[in-house]
Amino acid sequence: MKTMLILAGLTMVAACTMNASGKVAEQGGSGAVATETGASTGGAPLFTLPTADGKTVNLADLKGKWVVLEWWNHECPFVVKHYSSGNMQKLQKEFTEKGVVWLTINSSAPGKQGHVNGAQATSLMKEKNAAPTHVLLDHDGKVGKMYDAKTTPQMILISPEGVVMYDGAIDSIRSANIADIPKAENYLVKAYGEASTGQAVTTPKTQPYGCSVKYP
Amino acid sequence: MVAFFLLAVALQGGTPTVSGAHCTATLIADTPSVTPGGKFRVGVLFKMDPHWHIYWTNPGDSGLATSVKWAEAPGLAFGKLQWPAPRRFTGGGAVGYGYEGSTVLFTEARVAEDAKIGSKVRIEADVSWLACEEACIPGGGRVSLELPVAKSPGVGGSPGRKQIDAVSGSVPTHLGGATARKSANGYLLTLPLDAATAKSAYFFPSDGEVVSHGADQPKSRTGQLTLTLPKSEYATREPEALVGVVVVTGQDTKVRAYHVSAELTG
Repeated sequence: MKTMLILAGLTMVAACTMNASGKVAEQGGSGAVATETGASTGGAPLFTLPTADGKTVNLADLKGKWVVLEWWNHECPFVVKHYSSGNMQKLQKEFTEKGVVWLTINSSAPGKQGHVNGAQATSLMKEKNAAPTHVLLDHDGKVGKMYDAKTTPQMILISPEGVVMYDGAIDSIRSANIADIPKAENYLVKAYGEASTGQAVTTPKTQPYGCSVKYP
Repeated sequence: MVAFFLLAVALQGGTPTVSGAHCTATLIADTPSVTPGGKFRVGVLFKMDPHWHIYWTNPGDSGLATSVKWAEAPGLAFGKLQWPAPRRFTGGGAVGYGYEGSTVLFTEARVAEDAKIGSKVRIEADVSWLACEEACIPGGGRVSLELPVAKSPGVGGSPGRKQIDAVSGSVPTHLGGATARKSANGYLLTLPLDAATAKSAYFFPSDGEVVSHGADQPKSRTGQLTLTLPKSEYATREPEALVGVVVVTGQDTKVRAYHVSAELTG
């Protein structure tokens, strides 16, 4: 009975906090980093972020190119699944060889799981033989919230016109088990394959799976 | 004393407990011995460190469903796994469904009629979980337990019985007569319950990509209990039915959980 009461109380508390967090995504679009949104419906919000090696990436400058956004927390078991198997690195190589700009984004706040500074990010990527175009540091989580990124990993594909063509899970099997990777359908690969050849994307949005993004 | 205990465990041939970071899983039964043709309850007791949680069948926005898979056991048949009512966790805007503190996922097992008195039945299960607080750490392994086959079930009960009884009251019961229809931004789920007697209610969908995990679910104040369920931001098609668990906290503060399956109309 006591457990039941506690359960009831906590459920109500949860309902209250949810109200507040539900608003976050909407506010994100008018945050300081967002300068404007793309012209089309589903336009990718524009942002500027520092890279791990001290440069700056402005999404607006990437117009005309395909862009992949990958939310990354190297300590999250779901991210570990795709890096220790080599799956993510393979995708990064395949996409960047085709001229796609691959941006790996770290939205973990200081003191939280997966938070890295530029040097740590660079060394982790080197150690994993990873090949993103850039690792971006989003330590205040503004860009993550702007895109309503919920999990690591979460994948977003942006067209050369600046339109979000895919947003969601990396693949179709929600697990932290490497053995599931070959059995799963990779949604990013599928969406890019379709969109880059002028076809309609059959699965433009899925529920992402992984660890929650460790926002401040 | 400790040596004797360890020896006893070793003789039983297996380990009932696997420990991971921040969570342990122990195989338990509600009886010290079983009978030919008899039924008993067997389950996995999960104990989490304070503030750590594991996940329900639908983990919500993040996380991973806890898994208990019974190994094939000669002379034993297992029923459906029973999941106590989940609760909600929020963190960084992602909503999770699961359990904090401790819980038991259990089932009813049936012993073969021809089980020999004096023999033993061996229960083994592969267990896996993802334990999360801020960070998430996976855990799991194989747990096992042997129970003697006797003429009559042992007297004096077992610690496992208390532990299973403690959660069995929160396992959802079937509630017929629920209806669902489309609304502007999602669905309206109506239950054959009096809205005035419910302090709060929450629908936990069995599947993702149906209703929003993060949104509020406003409830009616009078008449039949109706919940307004905003559609999932990831929904790509209309479901045929709303299937899940409704947890209702009454004005009397009692918590009741129901399995509902409401076909979607209009």
